[in-house]
Amino acid sequence: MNRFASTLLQVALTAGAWVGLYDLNGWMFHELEWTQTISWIFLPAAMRLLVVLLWGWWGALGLWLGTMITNVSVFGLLTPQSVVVATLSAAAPCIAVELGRRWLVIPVTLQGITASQLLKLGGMSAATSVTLHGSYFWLSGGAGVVGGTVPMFIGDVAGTLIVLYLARSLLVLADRVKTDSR
Amino acid sequence: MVKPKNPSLTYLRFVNLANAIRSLPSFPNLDAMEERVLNGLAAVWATGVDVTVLDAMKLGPDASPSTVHRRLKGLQRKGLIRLQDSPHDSRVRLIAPTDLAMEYFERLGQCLDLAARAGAR
Repeated sequence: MNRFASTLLQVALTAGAWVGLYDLNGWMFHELEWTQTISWIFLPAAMRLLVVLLWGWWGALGLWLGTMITNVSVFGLLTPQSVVVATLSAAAPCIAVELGRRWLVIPVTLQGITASQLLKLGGMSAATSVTLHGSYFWLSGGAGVVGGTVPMFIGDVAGTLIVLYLARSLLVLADRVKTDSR
Repeated sequence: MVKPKNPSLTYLRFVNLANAIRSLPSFPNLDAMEERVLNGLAAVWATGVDVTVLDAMKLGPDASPSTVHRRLKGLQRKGLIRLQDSPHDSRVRLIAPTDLAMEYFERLGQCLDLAARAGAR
């Protein structure tokens, strides 16, 4: 597969994974929704961090596409608000990762990244997302913006932790299976 | 000389990220005394001998039994030990390791192996 095709596939898979995780989150944590777009647990927040760490701007493009799809039921199809929110959703982890890598001195290859640094990047991604979304909705006269800031931040952090620890369990299990099969 | 091909950036990032995720903290924090008590218990468990609460309270030669008892409570709260009645005398409580404790010892062993290999290079 040539490079363009694999990049296209990666963007499509990211968008698909975002939509799937967004719907799963809505189904699993329906009772924890603050609003239609804010939840006390938001699993897709982990995706924002991980795809940007792995794929950089191409990951962000996949996030943008996925968010445009999930925004349809909230803001409509291809409305200006939908485009802005999707752009903020994709830009936030990019900004957080770029600033975080410089602050924590993490190379582009992520060589030597520690668990502690990963958790800090998760926190920064959540904070950046809340700041950008909150600022936009406040400037556009959105109601309940300030009230939504805390659940949004907590939702992003909680979602990120849940996904990271789930990934950890899977990796540890895979390592154990590999060791046992030797 | 054949120029080695660089692994893809994505693959490098994935490997490094996976290592970071693997090392996410998963064990409750232990203070120095709890660690000593747990290590003392591990040494006795390794011999296959049952450890009673009374025996455990004598494990720390420089710590009072009440201090050790408090730490045992802490270890139990953190899910590293469990208390069970002795099959021979229900008045006697035995201390047994939990799965979390066994995973903790395994991880420590792996870290020591890694350190030994790194030191040998």
